[in-house]
Formats: sequence, structure tokens, C-alpha cells
Amino acid sequence: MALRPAIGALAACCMLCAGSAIALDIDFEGNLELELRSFPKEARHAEMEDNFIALAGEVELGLFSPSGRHAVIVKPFARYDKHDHERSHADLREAKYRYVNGPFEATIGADKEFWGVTEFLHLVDIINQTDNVESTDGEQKLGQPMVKFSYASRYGTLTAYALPFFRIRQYVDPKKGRPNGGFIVDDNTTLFESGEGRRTDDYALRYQNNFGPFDIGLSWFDGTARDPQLLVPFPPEASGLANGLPMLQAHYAYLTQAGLDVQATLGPWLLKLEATQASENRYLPDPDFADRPSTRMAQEEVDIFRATGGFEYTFYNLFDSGTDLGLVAEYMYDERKDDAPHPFGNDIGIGLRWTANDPQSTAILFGGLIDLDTDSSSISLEAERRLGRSFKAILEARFIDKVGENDDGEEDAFAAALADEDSIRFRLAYYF
Amino acid sequence: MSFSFKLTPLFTAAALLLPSAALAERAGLPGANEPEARGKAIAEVTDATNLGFGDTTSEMEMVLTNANGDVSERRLRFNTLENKDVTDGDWSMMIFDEPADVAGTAMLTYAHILDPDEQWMYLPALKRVKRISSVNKSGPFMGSEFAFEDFSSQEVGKFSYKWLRDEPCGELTCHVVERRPLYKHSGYTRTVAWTDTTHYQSRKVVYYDRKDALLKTLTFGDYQQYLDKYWRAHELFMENHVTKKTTLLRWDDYAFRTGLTAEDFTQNSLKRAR
Repeated sequence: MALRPAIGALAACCMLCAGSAIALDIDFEGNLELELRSFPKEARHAEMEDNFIALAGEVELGLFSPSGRHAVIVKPFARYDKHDHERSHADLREAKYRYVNGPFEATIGADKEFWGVTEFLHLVDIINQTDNVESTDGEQKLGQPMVKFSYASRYGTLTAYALPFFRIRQYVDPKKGRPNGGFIVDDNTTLFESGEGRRTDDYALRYQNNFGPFDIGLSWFDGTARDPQLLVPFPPEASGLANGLPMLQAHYAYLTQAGLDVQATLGPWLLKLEATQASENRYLPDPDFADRPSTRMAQEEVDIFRATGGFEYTFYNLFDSGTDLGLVAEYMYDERKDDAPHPFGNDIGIGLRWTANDPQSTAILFGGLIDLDTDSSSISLEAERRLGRSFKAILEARFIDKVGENDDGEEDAFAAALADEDSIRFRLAYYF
Repeated sequence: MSFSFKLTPLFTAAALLLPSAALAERAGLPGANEPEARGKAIAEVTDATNLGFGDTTSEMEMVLTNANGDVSERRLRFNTLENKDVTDGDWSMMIFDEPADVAGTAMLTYAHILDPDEQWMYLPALKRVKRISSVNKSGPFMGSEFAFEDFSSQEVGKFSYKWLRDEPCGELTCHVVERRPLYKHSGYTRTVAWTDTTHYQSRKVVYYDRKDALLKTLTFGDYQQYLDKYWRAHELFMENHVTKKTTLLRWDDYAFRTGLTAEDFTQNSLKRAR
């Protein structure tokens, strides 16, 4: 008897819940893709695969209150790669609650944030870790846990981020995976400068506004660098070898970085600039290991200035054909030049983008990168087209065109490491 | 000189033969002897019929048909905020729903009269907002027979006008006015627009390309009135006479004065658009 009111209350509660559930707007969408990758040149090691097959999927579930003020968005992604088990991975690209009230927006949970304006290299973009196994262009990112507050007014948009957890960069399977840059990184030996490891007190700030043709962003980041410094472990016997390749240890330094991004939109011209001034502790080169930094060396605080900028110009409706041809040229600079731990010390990128503007949204993108110090060059080609209503085919090819030398006759190590890792990637995606 | 001297009385006589047309037209329009002023005044009357709409939300289906009869479809939503400053253009947000591979892509536009519009595109796969050039006027919109400029708001100041004639159009009478774009990068030398003299809404537009050759014809159908004042055509049919391709736009779910504010037209709201 005494239970009855309780059951009644429970039933009423359920009905209320159901009632409010019905009042929610629900979005559900996603895609599934079949991926084939091929590496036509002979691998470094016989155990490495030449051809890879994979399946991937991403769904997005959104629940929105009728006013639009409250939203819960969950966006899981997963890939199964038959040959590379490091590429078989899952990630919550987004899993967040968002509250909006007029100019104010708050987000709690995993999310992705993009900062910046340039096409070849994203310097100021730092919130998310790169999903390094997904693609080699660095455009895919892992979901970043955050608490974010943003306020948009006529004086611009100010956004503050608290980033309580850090995510490490993943590398392809050490035995079978490709592309392989001539080394292996062991996740189990990851080093963090921050005593708290993956539990961090990182924060970031961004101010963004537009003044007529100018869009300007200023940013500040204080926390664990997303880019690791790769170290030779010491003593070396502890490092081990796989496929005869050196096993390196990833060290994530504490980093502060100020960023500026500007775009001027003048008729068909887009003029772009990104610049960063960063400060972090880096291990010094070890003379015993061909000047690779090793864990036994001291650390030194370094200030690093980097910049990239250029233009994008589009010929719209070329010869009244209805098609567009866009031209992108960007210069990439790092004050460390040749000594920079990445290939973009003094480089030029050239891009051509042709869009057919047809019902199938056919587009072709050509990209070329030239290192001005060594004359090394690489080329990429991407083509995509919608098939029917719901399918899309995407073809990508990336290859090293030339491995050059600097003025001292030293071979370009970055280009040389990838010289045999040319790749062709085909994807057939179904969208729903 | 003598020729026009003869023509003017002839025209007056013709107008007298069409008393209904003469009566239906808005009082105070400049006469046939001032075709430029008369053409612009007609555009101003049309513009005034939309004054004070506040904001609208709407959905649109787009049906593309090529010369072989192959069909492809798109779905979009539009949010528009009227600019209280009549010397400047409206703000709008366009959100793509279909095809599914472009779902979530959104475009924010601050339209201006003769200065270039300001436009930002949101690319959901990269979660990137990109300021884009608004120079692209004559290119096809989403592979359709509509050009970008056919979609942008048609502020009076964007064109010069010349009234050509009045003539019956279906059950109504129409002013026929030639418009020449004053903004740069248009794909047209001129368009000829039929505007009815009862509600002052567009019924038909004929487009002439940069070489002044007949290019395409747009017809407006299924007009419905909202808030007892604002007319919206729910079917727009564009026919390209050169390629024989057609595009049908079907508008649905028009809502007026939904409470949208400037805060719904920021880059933050562009990223939230869905």
C-alpha cells in the first residue's frame, strides 16, 4: 500500500522525463568509409605492409532544448585498420554540454577548436592534439577535454579555455605501419615536463574581431606542448629496436605561446599571416647520437619565432565556365631554419584548387612544397566527387619529388626519411 | 526629337485603353516620360512592401535538373535579420542540410549596398570559420542555375533602372523594368523584371549575359502573404536557355519575427548553426 504513491510518483516522473525528451530536438547524422591505402615503393623492412584496408565511421548525436540554449553533442569516431593496429583507434571527437545565453557561450566536455587563417601550416592552432595516425596532413584532431567560456560583442569575441587533460600524439604501428619516418615512438616511455603528466592545468585565451576587410585573432597558450620533442633514450640499450629502426622517446615540454593571425579580404585576394612566439625547454643535441637530442643531455630554455603567410586568389567563374580556380602561395618560416625539428623552416607552398561547381561538387587540389634551403620538394594531389545522393569518392596521392641538400652538402633528413613512403589513398564514404 | 514627340501622345492613348492598369498602379509614380525615375520608383515601392519584416526563418528545397532529365536535390535553411539602417544591407545565415556530405556547412553574410558584402563560411569537418571573398557573384550557387548574385539581397541601390512598358501578366498587370547591376563582377549586362501593379512583387525576371545574349528566365509562383503584409513566393523556377538546365526552389516553413537578434549572426553562432 505504502508503495503505491511512490510508484505513482515514479510513473509521473517518467512521464515528465518522457515529456521533456519529446520536447528535445534530436539530430543524428554521420558517415561510414572504406579506405584503401597503397605505398608503391619498397618499405624499409620486409615486415611492413604495402597495402592497407580500413573501415571508419563517425556519428554525431545532438540533443537541443527548444530554445537552443542547452545542447548535448556526442560525436564518436572509430577506425578499424586490418593491418595497422595503431591506426585501429576510437576517439570522442566531441562529447560536450553547451549553454548559450545571448552573447555568452559555455562548453564543458571534449571539443575541437580551430584557430588561424593559413592553408599549408597551422601555427596558432594549438588547442587539440593532432590525430597523427589518421592522416599525414595534420588536419585531423583528437577531441580535447575543456571548459570554455566565450563572450561575443561588437568589440570582438573573447574566449577562455581551461584544459584539464593532455592527450599524447599517436604513431603508426612500429612493425607494420606506414608511412614510417625512420624511427619508432614507444608510448610507454612518454615523458612530461609537467609533474602531473596528463592531468594538466593548461589554459588558453583568444580574442577575435573583424574590422572591415581585416579579421584579426590574438591568442595565448600556457601548458603542455602538443608537439613532442623526440629523444634518443639513455642508456641506449634500454631503448631496443624494432625492424632495425631506432626507438625514440616523446617528451612533452611545458610551453607558452603567443599567437597572431590576420586575414585581409580584398576583392578576390585573401592575404594571410600567422605568427607565433613560443618558449619551451628543449633537450640539447647529443654528439654521441649524431646530434639527436637524448635524455641524458641538459635542457635549455629556447624562444622560438615562427611565421607563415601568403595569399589566396580565386578566379571565379573562369571563362564563364561556372568553374573556379583558386591559387594559394604561402611562405613558412622558423628562426631555427635547418635546425628546426620539423620540415617547415624556410619553405614555400603552392596550391591550385579547381572546383567544378557541378551538381556532384567535383574538386581537384594540387599542392607542392619546396624547401628553399635544400630544394627538396613534395607534391600532393587530391580529387573528390559526390556519387549519387549519399556517397563521396576521395582520391589522394602524396609523394616526395626530390630529396635535396643544403649548402653544406647535407641531405635533407625530413625528405630523405619519407622518400620511400609515397602513398595513394582512396576513400569511399557514405553519408547519412 | 520629333520621333519621341510623336511617341509620347501615342503612349498616352494606349494607357487610356487600359484603365484598369492605370488605376491599379501605385499613386505618385513618375510618368512614362521619365522611364529611369519610374523604374527606380517601382523598385522602391517593392522594397517598401518588405519594410519592417524584422526577421525571418525559412527552409528551402532545391531541385536541379539537367538537359537529360537527371535530378539532384539540396536542402537549406535561411535566417535573415532586417538591418534597421536602410542605407545598409540585411544580415543572413544560410545552413546546408543536404546533400548529407555538406550538412552543417553554413554561411554568414553581412550584405552592403555597393561595398562588397562580408561573408564567412563555416566548414564543420575542420570546425573552421573562414572569411571568404564575396567577389563571386556570377558563379553557380551549389551547382544550380542560380548565381550567387541571384540570392543576395536585391537592395534598390545595387541597380540602375529603366521602365520599359506596362503589360498584362496573367490575371495581373505588370510593370516591365530593365535593371543594370551597379556592383562589380556581375555576370549580367542587364535583367528585365516583371513586377505586378497590385502587390508590387516580382513575377518574372529575364537575365542577359555579359554579351547581352538571352541567358535564363526566372518565374515566381505560389505567393503567400504573412502578417497581412509581407509577400513571399514559394516556388521559383529558373530555366537556363543555353544549357537547358533548370532549377526549382521550393520555400517552406516561413516564420516572421521569430526573435532573432544580432547575436544570432556572429561567428560563434555560425559555428553553432545546425
